[in-house]
Amino acid sequence: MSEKTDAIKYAWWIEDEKIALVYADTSNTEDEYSSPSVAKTVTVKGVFAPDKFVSADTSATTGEAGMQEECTLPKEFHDALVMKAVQKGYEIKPEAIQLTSYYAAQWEKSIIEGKRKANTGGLAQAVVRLVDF
Amino acid sequence: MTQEQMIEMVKQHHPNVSETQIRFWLNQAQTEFARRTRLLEDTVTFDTVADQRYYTFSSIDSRLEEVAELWFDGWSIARLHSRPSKRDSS
Repeated sequence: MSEKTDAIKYAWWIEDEKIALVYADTSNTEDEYSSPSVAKTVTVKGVFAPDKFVSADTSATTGEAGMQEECTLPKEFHDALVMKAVQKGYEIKPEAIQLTSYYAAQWEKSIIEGKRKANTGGLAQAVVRLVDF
Repeated sequence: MTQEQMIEMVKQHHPNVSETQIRFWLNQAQTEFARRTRLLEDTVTFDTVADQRYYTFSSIDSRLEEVAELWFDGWSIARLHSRPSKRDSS
């Protein structure tokens, strides 16, 4: 497929955490979609989970980060992760439970900043982005 | 900041907590942060198989959580908001 007219005959949707790809078969009268009969390369833009921290010194495995590797989230939010872990630690100490509210508040502020950064898409001002829930 | 540096910072508050436990908390934190902010956007490519309709997120990339846009052979193609009325499980 190299023509735009062919491309518009294909469609996709999401179903149960699966991508479905179809070809609109116009050769029949039932408005039927069939699975694509050709193998092609698909590019997907989306939201990804961060690399999971593991105990190894270094990790070449996709989706994992070793002890000497950096978190995949932007640097300005690394402190927020530390604060959340500190909060979790105080939650299991009855004598210091009052400290959790401070760290919880800081965490929520960081979440708001993170959403703001995500919504700007690198622009200097906010953009409206349609999200399908 | 590396994972080791993060663990050291948490240990300043909780010296008796194990490294494994702190790592668990850090993983919980970054997962929640990424999910709530949708901050980690990226693109990934995969090759389709002829006559196959469905591709699981995990088979494309284990980290893929949500799909925003898709290009088939380089072309942006239409997105249907629900599946066609005629079922096909191929």
